[in-house]
Amino acid sequence: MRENKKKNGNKTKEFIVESLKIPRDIVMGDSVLTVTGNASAYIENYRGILEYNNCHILIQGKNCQICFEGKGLHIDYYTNEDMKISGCISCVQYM
Amino acid sequence: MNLCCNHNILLWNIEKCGAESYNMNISLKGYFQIRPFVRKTGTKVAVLGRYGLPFFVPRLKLHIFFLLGIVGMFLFLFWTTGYIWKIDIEGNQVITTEQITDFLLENEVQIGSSKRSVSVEDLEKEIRNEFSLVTWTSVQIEGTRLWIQIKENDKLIETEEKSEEKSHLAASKDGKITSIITRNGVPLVKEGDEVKKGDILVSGQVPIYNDAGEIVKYHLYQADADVYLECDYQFCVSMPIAYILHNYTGNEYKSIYFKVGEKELVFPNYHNKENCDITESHRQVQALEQWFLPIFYGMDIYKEYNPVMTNYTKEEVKQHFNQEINTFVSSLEEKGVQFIEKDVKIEKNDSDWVATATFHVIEKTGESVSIDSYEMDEENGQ
Repeated sequence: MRENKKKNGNKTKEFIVESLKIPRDIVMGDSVLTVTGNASAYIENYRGILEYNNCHILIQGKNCQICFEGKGLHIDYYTNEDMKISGCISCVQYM
Repeated sequence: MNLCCNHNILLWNIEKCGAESYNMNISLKGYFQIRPFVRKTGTKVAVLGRYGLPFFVPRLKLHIFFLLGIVGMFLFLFWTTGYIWKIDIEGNQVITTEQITDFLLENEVQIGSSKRSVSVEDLEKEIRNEFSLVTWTSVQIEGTRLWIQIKENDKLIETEEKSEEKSHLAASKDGKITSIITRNGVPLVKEGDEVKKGDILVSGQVPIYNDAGEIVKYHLYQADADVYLECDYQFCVSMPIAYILHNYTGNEYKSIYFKVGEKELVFPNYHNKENCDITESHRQVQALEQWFLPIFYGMDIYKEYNPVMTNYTKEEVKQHFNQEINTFVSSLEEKGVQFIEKDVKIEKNDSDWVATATFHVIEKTGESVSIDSYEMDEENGQ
């Protein structure tokens, strides 16, 4: 029952987003990822860090998990709004 | 980290070090807020270092004089910005910088004057009024620098005063008339006549004859003619036979120069040394591009020499006189004088070399003489 309600809610939200052309990150809470080359990445709309080491950072978004892989990964800053990851990023994966 | 993030506690420079430890930066306020999270998550927090203003200021209290020094320095810099510490004058060619500086001094504008006391607009007006040659001027105060830009009149406007006064045209030099073209008046001389200085060449009194050929009356005009005169110019110039040659001994003395405000300090002081040529290189301390401080420093170099009386060589004498004569010739040429002959004699007397040059030239002559004043002179002469 609850899952059905959730699915219906998501469908309604998607319908609103589609018809009113409202950004998905505001209504659906999708994460916004801005990657500059392979040296840095800005992430907005996330819930928290799940795993963090020099070659692997896993971030929990609202709808999915984002995984950064690379070398010398480093979090420059981490706030409630956004975070910056720098280092040599080799792979970004949505899970 | 996630709890910090959710409670708006900023973390930065998060680094993984070791298997289960992270290094990160946190604000002092944030550090006091994380205690409940630390207890809740069972994390151990260790302070590795303290950086920034909250830790620096309490430490400064221990060095109060250092702090006062810094504050004093800023106050001093702030105080000095209220005064003019450098005056730059640009664009003057005929008017010398010293003339302008003297004028500024008369107007109580000098190095060390308060910026408030200098009215830029008034100063611009004053400069234009004082120097008639100045056509445009701009006075700006940039930082602690007073910047005066001047534009002088490139060509002096030759205003020929065309008075309507009735006049004769008289010879300005002794000589022989080579050509005369009269536009107004009665010519009294003809080509080939010898004239003396002051002789009337063209009369402004034009006689009116009746049918019987008698003069009825005179009409007065302003005599006007192109009269060319063959005449001579004499030019005499001299120079001493000998001069003092500075034969440098190779000895050099250097002294350090330092000036704060009006106080000068030279160390060591060689001012009393005789027979020395002094080279001064002084620089003003500049805090920023336009911010000059009343502090000067530099070096004075004293080069010792033996004074040797030396005679000028013939070539040097010839060169010197050539230069003088050429300047004289070019000044005449500017006036439109045509040269026919040139004769230069260089002679040596007891103490000097003397050059005497005679130029045979053709030049335009004629100066207006008021008819009334001329008649008066004639009457007085009689």
